[in-house]
Amino acid sequence: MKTILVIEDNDEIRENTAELLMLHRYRVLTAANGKAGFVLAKSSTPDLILCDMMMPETDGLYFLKQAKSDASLQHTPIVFLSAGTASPVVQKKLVTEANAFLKKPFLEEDLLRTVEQTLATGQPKTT
Amino acid sequence: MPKKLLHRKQESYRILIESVKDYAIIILDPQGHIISWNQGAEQIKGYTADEIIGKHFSVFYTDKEKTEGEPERNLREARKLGRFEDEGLRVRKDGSQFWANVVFTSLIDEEGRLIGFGKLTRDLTNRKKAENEIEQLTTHLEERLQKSETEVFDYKQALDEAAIVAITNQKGIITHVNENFCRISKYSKEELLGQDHRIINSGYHSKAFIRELWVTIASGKIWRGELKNKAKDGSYYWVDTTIVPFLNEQGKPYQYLAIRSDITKRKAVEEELHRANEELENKVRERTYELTQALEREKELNEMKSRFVSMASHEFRTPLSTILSSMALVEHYTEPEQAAKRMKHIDRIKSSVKNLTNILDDFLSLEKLEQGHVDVRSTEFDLKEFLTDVTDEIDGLLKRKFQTLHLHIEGDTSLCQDKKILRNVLLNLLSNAIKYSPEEKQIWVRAEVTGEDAMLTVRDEGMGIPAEAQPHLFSKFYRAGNAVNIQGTGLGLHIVKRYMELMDGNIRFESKEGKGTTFILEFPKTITS
Repeated sequence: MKTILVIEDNDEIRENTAELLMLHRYRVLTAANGKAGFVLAKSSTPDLILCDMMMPETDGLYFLKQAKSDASLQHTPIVFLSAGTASPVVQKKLVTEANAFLKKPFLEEDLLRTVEQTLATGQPKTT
Repeated sequence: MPKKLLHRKQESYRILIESVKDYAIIILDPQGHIISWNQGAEQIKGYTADEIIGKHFSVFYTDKEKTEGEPERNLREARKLGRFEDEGLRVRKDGSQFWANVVFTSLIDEEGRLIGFGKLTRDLTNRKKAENEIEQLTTHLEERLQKSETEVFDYKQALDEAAIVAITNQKGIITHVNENFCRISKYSKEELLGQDHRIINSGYHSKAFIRELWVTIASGKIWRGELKNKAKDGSYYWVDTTIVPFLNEQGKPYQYLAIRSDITKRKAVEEELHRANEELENKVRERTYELTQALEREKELNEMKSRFVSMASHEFRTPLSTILSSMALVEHYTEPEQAAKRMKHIDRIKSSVKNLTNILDDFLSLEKLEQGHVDVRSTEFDLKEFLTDVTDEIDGLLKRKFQTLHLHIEGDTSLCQDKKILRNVLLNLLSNAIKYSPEEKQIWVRAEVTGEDAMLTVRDEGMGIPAEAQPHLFSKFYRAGNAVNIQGTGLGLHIVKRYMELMDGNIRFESKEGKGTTFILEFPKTITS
């Protein structure tokens, strides 16, 4: 059973996403911001991380930086959830460093497929 | 006198007379016969002494005069007057005639008896010749002078016709002006002659300019330039001027001739052009400024639009995401025992829809406010009751973040204001205080009514507003830099400000980043709808 870490500040979206994933037999851990997410990731080393871009205080970019500079996490695949409002600079960075994107609002099928594919390829993007 | 002395005297005279070469000095006996002849006589008349002595002096006269008895008449005159001078033609030995000046003197002895005549003759041929030449030359010169004078007169006329002319002496006093000068300066001849030329000074030209002019002409050089002069009636005119100094024998100017032509029209056109240019440049500057301003505004609008699009995108997607995911989950919970889960998600969908609706309502409120379609409807209500209700409404939000709210009210709490608007305002401020404060923080609401004024403050210990965001806080769609990742439309405070204006009140704030924010509302206790 694979473990997925969901980092998302909006309570409903975080809970719903976790619920959906659990219904599909994934073990889910959740965090409400980048900092908490990083701490949790380090201690649990999930198989995949679903991370929201826009969060207060410590956002997706912050988490990405932390994760990629951490030995235990730099190979963990990351899928970013975005509302599509990131600046071109940010988008470019994400394209090179993240494994996949999920645009909100996402359909259940899209969520599952992205998760499966990312886990299957097992190929993390190189930094 | 002793005879010997007299004889010597006579002898001396004789030698003297003999030796004179330029004048013919002859002695005649009382009848007119020649008894003495000098060298001069030989020279002038051509006869030697031997040839002429004893002959009658009438031989020197022309035939005409001889027939008229001129010689005898001359002698008679000489005898009567003692001295008689005459000018006339005489005849030489060779028959040639010459013009002579003759002086007859009657010679009287001691007893008064006539003993003869003295005759002094001068040849006036040379003098006559010279006189004739002079006359001829004079006539010739006069003719040339006449011709010159005529020419000069013609030139002068032409000049007077064509130009504006004035002559001043070396001191600058006007000695002559022509018609044109009078016409343009509007002074009469009498008013100008004898005046200092400065009478037409306009004061336009610099002292240096005038000084340079005088230095030039005083040194004998011609000056050319454009001058602005003043007419009698105070009006101004421009003239293209050439000043010619007239020099005396020492090379110094004794008078100045000024020839001018009226260029007032051209100058006026030049000035007009210059002015038009300046006006044009001013207009261009104005327009450029206006355009720059417009461009700035355009830029601002674009930025605002971008902010709006960015914000709307995020704000819409969030509740939509919840709706979609909750829908998916409801589809999963089909079993009867999963009813509770179903309900949970159905509630989530509802509240997300409400969320979206709120956002849309905000947009609509803004539109209404901007169009001036919001009416103030004042009702009487108790502030204490009102505040308690409102704070109760947001109790759920407080609990979620483990925050506490403190309420403090002072003064006469009966108000006559627009309750609905005040509620919207307070809800916005309170939800902001909650949203932008971390968990477990406190919020204070304080109400003070003094006299006719009411004051409400909402204080939090939240993230505060950064200095650079403070000037823009009430702008449409504005989000402070530190709030970008927190849900919000950027409309709340803008709408609140507008609402306060409708209530005849105002809103201000004090804030420090990382410390907290206090919003202060001031409005009249009573307002009429």
